[in-house]
Formats: sequence, C-alpha cells, structure tokens
Amino acid sequence: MKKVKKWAALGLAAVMTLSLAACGGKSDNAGSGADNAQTNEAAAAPEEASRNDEAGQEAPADNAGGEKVKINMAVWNGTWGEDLNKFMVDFNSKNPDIELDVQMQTGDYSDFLGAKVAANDLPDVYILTPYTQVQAFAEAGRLMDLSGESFVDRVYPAALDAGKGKDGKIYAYPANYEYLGVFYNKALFEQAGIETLPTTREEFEAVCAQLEGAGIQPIAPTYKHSWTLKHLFSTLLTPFVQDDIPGFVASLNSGQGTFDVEGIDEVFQFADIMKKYSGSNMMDQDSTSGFNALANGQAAMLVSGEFSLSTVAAMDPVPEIGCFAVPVASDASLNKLAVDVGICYVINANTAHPEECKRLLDYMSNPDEEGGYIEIVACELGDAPPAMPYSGGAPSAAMDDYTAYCDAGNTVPWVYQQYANGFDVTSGDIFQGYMAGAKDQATVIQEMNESYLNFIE
Amino acid sequence: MSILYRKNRKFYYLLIVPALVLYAGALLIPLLGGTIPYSFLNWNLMSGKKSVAGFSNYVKLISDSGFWMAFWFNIKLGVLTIIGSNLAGFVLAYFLNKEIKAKGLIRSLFFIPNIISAVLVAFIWTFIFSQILPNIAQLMDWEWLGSISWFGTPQMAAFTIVVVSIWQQIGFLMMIYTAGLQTIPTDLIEAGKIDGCTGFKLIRYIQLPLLMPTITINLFVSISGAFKAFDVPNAMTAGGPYGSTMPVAMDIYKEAFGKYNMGYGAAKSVVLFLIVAAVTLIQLHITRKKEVEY
Repeated sequence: MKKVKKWAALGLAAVMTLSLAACGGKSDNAGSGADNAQTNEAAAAPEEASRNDEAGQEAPADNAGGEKVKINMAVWNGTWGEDLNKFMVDFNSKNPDIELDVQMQTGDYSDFLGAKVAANDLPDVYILTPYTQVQAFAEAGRLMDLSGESFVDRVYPAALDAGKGKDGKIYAYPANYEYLGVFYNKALFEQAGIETLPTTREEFEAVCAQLEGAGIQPIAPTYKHSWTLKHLFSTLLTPFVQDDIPGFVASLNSGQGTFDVEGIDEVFQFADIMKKYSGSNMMDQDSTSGFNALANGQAAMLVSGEFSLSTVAAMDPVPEIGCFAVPVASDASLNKLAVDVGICYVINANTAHPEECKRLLDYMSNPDEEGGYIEIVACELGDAPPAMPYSGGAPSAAMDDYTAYCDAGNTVPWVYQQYANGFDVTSGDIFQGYMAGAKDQATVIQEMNESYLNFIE
Repeated sequence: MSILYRKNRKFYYLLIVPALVLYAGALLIPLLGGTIPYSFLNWNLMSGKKSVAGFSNYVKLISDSGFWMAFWFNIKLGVLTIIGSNLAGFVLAYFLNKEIKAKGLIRSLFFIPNIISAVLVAFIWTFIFSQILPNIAQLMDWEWLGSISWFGTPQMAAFTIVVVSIWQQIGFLMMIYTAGLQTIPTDLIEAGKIDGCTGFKLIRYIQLPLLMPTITINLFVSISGAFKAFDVPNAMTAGGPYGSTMPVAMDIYKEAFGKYNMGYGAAKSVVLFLIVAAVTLIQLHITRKKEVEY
C-alpha cells in the first residue's frame, strides 16, 4: 500500500511538472495564433481543402492528385496582410496540387531571419532586403540560383541588380519599386498660398515658414521610430554620393571610408529645418502618429515612403497627396526622388520542392495574371508599384509624380540597403541622437564611422 | 536529520527528477551545450562563417561602451523599479489587509496590470504619454504638461519605462506581501498591541521582521526581473532615443539577431548570467540572514 502511495506521489510530481510545461506551450501557441489571426483565417480555407483530400483518399474518385505539396513563405508585416491572404487563396485555388502557406512576421523581420538562420529553419520562399542581404545569403549558399527564371525578362533590367549575388548570378525576384520623398497635402499647400514646389533646401525652408505662417504645422514627425530616421538619413545622404555609390560603399566596407562626405553639412542643415518645423514634442511621435498627421491634415508634409499612403487611403474623403524629391541640396540638380527595390523574394536552396517554388515566383511575377499577386498587392493607394512595366494599380497624385520622376530618369537608389548587413538599423539609432538634439553633427559622423567598423569583418 | 528523512531520502530525490529533467532540457543543456561554447566562437549568422575566437569576445566586451551603457541603464531601471514597486506593493498590501470595503475588488484591480501582456501595457502607456497627456494639456491650457517630451530625452524615456514597470509589477508584489502579512499570527500582533506597540512601530518591529521571507522572495523576483527587462522597454521605446534606454537583454538580442554576431551575443549573455547570479546570491545571503523564526 505504501509503495502505491509513493508511486502515486511520484506520478503526481511528474504530472505537475509536465502540466507547467504544457501551460507554457499552450500560451505560446495562443500567442502566435493571435499574431497571425488574419493569416490563419485565410489558411483555414486551404486546410479545409486538404482535409477534404484526406477524406477523399478513402473515396478515390474525389481528388486524383492525392498529397499536396506544402510550401511555406515568410514575409514581413505591414498594411498588406489582407492582400497576402487574398493572394494565398488565389494561388491555392489555381494550383490544386500546392498548398501555399504565407506567414506574416509581426516583429522585426531581420530579427526573425537571424533566428531562423540560427535554427537552420528557413522557409521555402521568403523576403530579403535587396543588395547586401541577398549577397550575404547567396554567398552562404542559402539561395537558389534564379538566373533562368521567367521574371528575369519581365522586370526592369536595373531592378535585377538588387537581387544579384557577388558572383553576378540572379538570386532574387525584385518584386517592387518603392519611393522615399516628401509627401504633401495639396489642399493645405493651396491654403497657404504655395504655388510652386520647393526644389532646393532654401525654397523648402521658405515653404515651411509659409505654412507655419498660415497656421499649418509644416512637417509630420515620426522620429520616435528610429527606422524612419534610417530612411531619412539615407535619403538625405544619397544625393551627395549618387555619382559613385559603389565606390562610397566600398570605401566604407574597406574600413577607410567616412560619412563626412562633401555636402554632409547640407544633410544636417536640412535635418535642422525638419527639427524646427516638426512641432513640439516631435520625438514622442512615431510612424503611426506621423502617418496619421499627414492623412488627417494635421500637418502638411511627411518625409517618408509610399507605404505611408495606406494610412491616407483609409480617410474619407481621401485627401490628395502629392510627392516630390527631398530638396536637401542647394543645387536643385542633385535632388532626385529616392527609388529602389524594396522587396526581394528568394527561394531556399534546400527546399524540398524547387519546381513548385519556381512556379510560385512565375505566378507572382506575371503582370497579366488575372486576380494574381501583382494585381492584388498593387491595386490600392499606398501600394508599391511592381518593378516592371505595368499599367494597372491605383491612380493617385503621388503615383503620377513618381512616374514623372522615373520617366525623366530623376531618381537615385537607397544607399542604406547597400551598407554592410545590420548597419542600417544602427544608422537610424545614431541619427535619432541628432534629431533629439543630444548630439551634434561631428559626434554623429564620428559615431557612424566608428560603429560601421563593427559590421565589417 | 530525522529518521523519516533518512529512510525516504531516495524517494525524495526521485520526486525532483521530473522537474530536474525539464529544467535540464530547457535550460542547462542549451546553456552548457549552446550559449557557453558559442561565446568562444566568431560566428556571423548572415555569412554563416564560424571560427574559434578563444577569449577574444570577452576581451572585446570589456571595452564595449554600448554593453556597459546598457548595463548601467539596467541598474538605474532596476534600482528605481525595485524600490518603487516593493514600497508601493507593500503599502498597498498593508492597507488592503485592513478592514475595508470591496477589498477583493480593489486587490483584483491592482493585480490586473500584471496579467495583461507587457507589450499591451506598453502600448497603452505609450498612447497615454504621446497622445492623451498632450491633449489634456491642450484642453486645460497647461503648457508645463504639454511641453514635456516623454520619449525625447534619455531621462524622460527612462522615467516612463520606470513608471510603467512599477505599475505593472505592483499587483504581483502586493499579492505576495498580502499572503505574507496574512501568515503572521494574529496573537503576535495582539500581544504587541497590548504591550503598547502600535502604528508604525508595529510595522517596523513586528510585521517587517516576520515578513523577511516574503521580502527575500520579492526582492529575488524583482532583481532578476530587472536584469532581464526586455518587453516593456522594447515596446515603449525600442531602446530609443538613440539607444539610451536599451537594457542588456535587448542589447544581447540585437547583437545576436540584429547585427548577426552570434558568438559575441553569446559572450554577452554569459556575462549577464554571471552578474545576475552573483547579485541574486548576495541578495539571498543578506536577506536570509535577516529572516526570523517564531
């Protein structure tokens, strides 16, 4: 009898410990479930289908194909969650033999990649940041060579650079072009009596003063989020290194380079203007409140990317927002719209289903696919245009401005995507010190130079 | 040791085996087999290149101002939140231990912040600081309030994190203090009262000494919690402005998964582990000595 009691006690101890572990496990699931609630809803549809399949195997008349090939795809989060669900459902319905599962990562995507690489558990298809990240992944042998795929002939030749490895092979499908510039509320500009858009820093400051004089806050701040400052610093810097970006990046990577380039004073002078006209407590405002401020007319301008227009699109009525290149330099000819590939899709070199993954990329890069990826993700205001000739998409003032800059060849790339891996985030953190008024120009440049050394081997 | 203990010793050890297995699988093995060996490697996650680094990661760490800045922030955050939340937790527990109406309801209300996810708490407070307070300031024409930039300077950003951390932890500490207060036999209190020991003296000479075991636990929980702080700072300031509110845990995370230096990140975590272990051992030693038995 005593023995039984002892064993019972032992069993109880084990059960209690395991129940603790189970609690942990359950809450984990619940967490990711809530995170991906949207994705899951849509995922339910294909799951249903696959369940039917299983049932169908008993009655073989139903689906001759049998087992579906499962492809995992990871993308970063954003306002396009619903679009991705639609795209997933559309792809799965057109490809009965494949079950695509798109997982939207809610946290920081580069952190997600790092964790996946550490665990050697990368998805079949996933997004990478163009240039350096693609190069590093290709060099490590993680990516499939896509040089012979259909998208190569579809996208603009210049866009292919974003997905090239150091060996010149193409490893990524450059899915879209994004643009960074000054987004402005046309009605508010009119209200303040501004007729011509500023093309130089001096004109920009005059416009700010004019807006302020009319009782309108000139600039919507987003500076609490340092990633917006990574964009900002890159956009301000690029005009001054545009003649030789590869040379500038190479000098940084050699450890001999410096951010103290010719014209850097103008970068900081422009930042000073932004600080002056961004209202009080600008460091408390993050991207959400900044985008909202542009959308609801609280501020007349926002220095950001086309993705901010998704917030504008949610307004009723939708205000008319145009876009112009950040007029950072006094020499107007230097100021160009910052346009670059924002998203690169790659295929895992170790995927078990290479053919199916390639079919997916073919589908995703086909501009004529009815109800397909491009149509879905490029149809609304705020969506980035595909990096290929495409006539669809939502017409908007900003889009027209973007097209005009592109047609005139008045664009520059985003230099931050070519920094050594990981430095882009740090550049935003350091520049935040300048925006907050805690560091002067010399300190910021020195910190950037010193910090860059930590990212090169 | 009693005869019973000696007789059943094997069985007692057996009882901790299931928990020990889990602990080893989830903590000891990854620590000894992963983190510690990794800390001697140069391992870049992006390129996938690994090479033996010896102690160079640790040597680099000594002069890494970023790490020590993060560490210093942890200490500031820790001291302020530990004192603040323990004091407030005790005061609440003390008064909610008296005969007042709706005691249970009030206790639950104070406890709720603890069960809401820290990220949500941080978002709520970010909204309060950056949207609601400025709006109140505007409505009331309080320029002093409106001109405060809650996240603009390292001091204010740290202050907001401290406030939110205290607010979040109070409930939990209050519960433990309440439990501790309730274990004090009422006859001791009554005897004290008869001897003329009342009010603050009662707390100082009877309740606090008898609460030492509880204080030991609470300090242990809040000290180790302070060193592991991650979620609230991450969701409120993401380490900003310019990295000034970056706790060590976030610094390690950024090192390993943001800058992709796995080996160096591992070295940082080993150092953090050693420091936290040392601090908590010292704390346990000191507070244990003060515990009294009755």
